[in-house]
Amino acid sequence: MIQHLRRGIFILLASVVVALVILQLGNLGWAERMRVIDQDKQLARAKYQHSHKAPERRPGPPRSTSQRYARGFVQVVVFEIGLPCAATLGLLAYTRCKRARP
Amino acid sequence: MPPPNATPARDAFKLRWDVLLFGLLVLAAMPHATGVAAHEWISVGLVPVLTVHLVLNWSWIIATTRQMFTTLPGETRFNHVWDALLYVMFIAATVSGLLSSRVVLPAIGLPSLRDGFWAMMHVVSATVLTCMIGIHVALHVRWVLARLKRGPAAAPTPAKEKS
Repeated sequence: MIQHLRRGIFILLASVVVALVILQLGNLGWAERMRVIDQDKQLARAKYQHSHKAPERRPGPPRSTSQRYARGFVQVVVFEIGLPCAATLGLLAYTRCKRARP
Repeated sequence: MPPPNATPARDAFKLRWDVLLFGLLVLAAMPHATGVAAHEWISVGLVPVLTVHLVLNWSWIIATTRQMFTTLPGETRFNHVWDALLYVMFIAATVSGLLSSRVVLPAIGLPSLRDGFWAMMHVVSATVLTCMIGIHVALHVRWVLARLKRGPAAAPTPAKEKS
């Protein structure tokens, strides 16, 4: 048990070190450029909204939670996880088949 | 390469833990469906779950790292490098998510940073992480199938109910 705890602490400490390295990305020049681009976009959006004031509309009916869930689930499980998984399985099967046949 | 201290009961627990981790990762990857608050708290909960996952697979990690540059099949070597990248990407997604958090940081009394760079980093790293998980699952699918074929006989014996 103590051994597992020690390993867990080691993993968490390693994670902190990696996190500190990743945090340094925020000080790079391109991070600053991204922030400036983002601020410019927000400013342009605010100016546009100010000059094109939308007519007041009554809010529509709330969207169904199940529909939103289904959309997110399909997008994540099928496209983001399923497709890379299927492609890797196909590639592994192909390489194993190729290795088996000299 | 099986871990040196693999036992059926340990494997059954590992499989259950992996299913829990995968389920939480899928839920965390759907902020539009779960809502931002649930997304953030599930993601924070993923950190200890992933740590336990790594502790459970510690023997495999150490044994593979030791043999990395000697006698190791190419597939296992790739698997190990992929797992390391997955770990780094998970931390990148968690750190960038915390820095652009709208619920967790205010809940612990810290101001929410509205930083465009970290928000963009979070979207990119989380999407890449989700795709990497798909490949990670495919690389370990033989272990999962072998464990499932062994069936409940290998599962830990439940405590007998008192009559």
